[in-house]
Amino acid sequence: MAVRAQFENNNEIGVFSKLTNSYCLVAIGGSENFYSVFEGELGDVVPVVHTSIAGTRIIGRLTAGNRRGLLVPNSTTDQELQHLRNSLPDSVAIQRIEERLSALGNVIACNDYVALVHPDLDRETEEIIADVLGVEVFRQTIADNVLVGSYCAISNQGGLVHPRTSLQDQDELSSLLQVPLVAGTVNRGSDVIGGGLVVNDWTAFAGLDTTSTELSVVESIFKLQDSQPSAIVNDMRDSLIDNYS
Amino acid sequence: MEYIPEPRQQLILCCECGTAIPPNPANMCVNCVRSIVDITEGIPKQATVHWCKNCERYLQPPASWVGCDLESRELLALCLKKLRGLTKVRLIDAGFVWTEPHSRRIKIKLTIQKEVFAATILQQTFEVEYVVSSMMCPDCTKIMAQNTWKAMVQVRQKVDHQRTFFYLEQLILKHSAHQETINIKEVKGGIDFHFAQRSHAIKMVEFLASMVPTRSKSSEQLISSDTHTSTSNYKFTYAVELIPVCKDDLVSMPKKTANALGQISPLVLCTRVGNAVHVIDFKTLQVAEITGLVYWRQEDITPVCSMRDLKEFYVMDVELLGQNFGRYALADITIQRMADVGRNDNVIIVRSHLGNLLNFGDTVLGYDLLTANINNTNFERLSSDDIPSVVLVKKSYPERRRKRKQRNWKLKTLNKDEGDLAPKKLEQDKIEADFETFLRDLEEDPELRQSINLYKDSSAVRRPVTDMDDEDEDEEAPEVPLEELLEDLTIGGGDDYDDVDMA
Repeated sequence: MAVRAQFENNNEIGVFSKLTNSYCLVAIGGSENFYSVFEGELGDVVPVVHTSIAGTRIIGRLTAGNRRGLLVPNSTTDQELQHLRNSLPDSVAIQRIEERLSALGNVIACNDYVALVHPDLDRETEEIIADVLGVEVFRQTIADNVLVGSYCAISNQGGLVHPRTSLQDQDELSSLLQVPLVAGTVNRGSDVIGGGLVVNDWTAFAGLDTTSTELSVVESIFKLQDSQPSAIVNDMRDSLIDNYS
Repeated sequence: MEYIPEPRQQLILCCECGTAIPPNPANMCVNCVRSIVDITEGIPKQATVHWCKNCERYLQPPASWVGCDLESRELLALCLKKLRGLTKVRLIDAGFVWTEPHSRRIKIKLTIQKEVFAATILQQTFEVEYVVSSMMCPDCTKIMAQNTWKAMVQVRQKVDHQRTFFYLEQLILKHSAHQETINIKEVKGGIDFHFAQRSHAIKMVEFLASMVPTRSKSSEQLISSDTHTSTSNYKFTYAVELIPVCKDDLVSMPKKTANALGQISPLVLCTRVGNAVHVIDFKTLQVAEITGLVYWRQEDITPVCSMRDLKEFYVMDVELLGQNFGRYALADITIQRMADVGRNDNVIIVRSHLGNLLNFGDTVLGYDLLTANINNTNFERLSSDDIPSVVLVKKSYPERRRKRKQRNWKLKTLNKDEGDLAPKKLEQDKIEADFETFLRDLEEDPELRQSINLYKDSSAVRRPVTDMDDEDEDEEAPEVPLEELLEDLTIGGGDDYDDVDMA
């Protein structure tokens, strides 16, 4: 299911939230509406955590993470780090990264297996990403933009990239990620995909301006039509039964 | 052979309608952008331009009126200025769409560009329709309305011809004295000048007084008054009477008046009317000036015969007496009436001032006092000794000779309102004859020419003179030398008088 949401009248919800398959972070806002949307969708499956990073609300842009881990910038306070540690499942590794490009959400785009990173990222950071998130790291650009985290949104099912990404680039990225990609927009023609959309394997949240056409593109590429958290079990049941019978 | 992959165009779905389009800054198909934003919003699709049907000018707000043709640049500029919202967009192109002139609609096709969203420039073409509504401009209103003039100058001359007014017209044109007039109206016996301000009328009266001897009388009519502010609104009328003595008139006066003018003969000939009336005693070459002051004191100096009474005579002999004054020379001249030439030997011997000008065989114009029917008290009181049988006035030139000639000059005319009724055929002929006489006077008299402007008639100057066949005529009719003529300056449409070809 893809859901529209708005953070305090702002459609760039990817800035104020971080969604993975095992947890969800949302910014601390004046009203709880934004939180409620996430809570309503995810509440009984993954923890939805209110947090700030380095005292700011732009947590989606400052952090990067997947099912296995969460990377936070060096400016994150100890208190925040402690709060996250307490709120997230134990299986999620949290790592503070000393990196010049501190908006980790902008420079890292990842799913549970692959991460695309900014070409200028430190070698050490790259290693940390690979270790903590358990992913293969590729230095890439999307439609000649170095901020790969801002201009694409990827899950284990698929990915939405900047509308100007050429077919060649799409093919290349698609072969790296091993998921289908499509060029598209969110928020009624906005090309800042990462800013307007957060997605995991079974749900997506897009800005309130996103049109139904855009939403249908999102649903089809991320295979959200009938996906539920339990869908994976249904998918795998046959093979499991085959295996264990 | 090497495989060259064909570059495929990557497409995205339009975020509104879902059609596949190449990515653009708005990431929307053109139709969707158009349906969402209308860049012509705020630009009126219909407007009104005001047009004065009298002078065919358009109102350029706030208050100026400009004349422009349909589909002209000026009109386009005027129309575009009417559109208020046009400042917020970029105008790419504008042009007229043809409309029937009588439809009173002007259509303009505009192409504009405007930035919509971020970095998306949309171009759109649309039409604006203008309704041409007629509205009389203040200038025309002033002319058309009856009661807009504040002061009027009525110029009258109590004579039966219009030569003085033709001359006056040229004087007015030369000095541009007519510039403040609202309207110039021809009435019986004279011209009325209408003015918006009293001071303009006074200026006109003074101008006339400086040119010819006049007498003026002013009167005023109360239009309205306000007792609270004790202001009142008047209309002023100045009646200007011109001296009735014209050039070449035979003038008689009482003995007493003649004595006051330097013992001049009581029967004199007027030679020139300028600031004063110049008279000459044709028997002694004595000259005198009659100023307006002198004339209006008694009003007893009266014309006896005028232009219309002139008869033609044939010159038999000229005997100079040796007395000269300026271009005049006293002579005894033997003449014969044109009717008598070749029939009988009735000759008349007269004393005349035209001795220098006349030769044997010439024709001359004069007043035949023996046969003339004269009703004039001054004239009747004169003793028969003082009255000559014939008074010669000026040399005449054969009609045939003149007809051949095309005039190479022309005059300008005032733009006059001929009043309610056009003159009858007979009257019209009379006016034309008067005008022809005036033109001949101009040709014959360089002094008269000095005070007015003559213009080159370019069509006549270009015309080659071919017919010089009748060389038997030993004398040419007088002509205006080319160097006296002015080049006509025609500023398209701006002139308020029509150039009439008088040649």
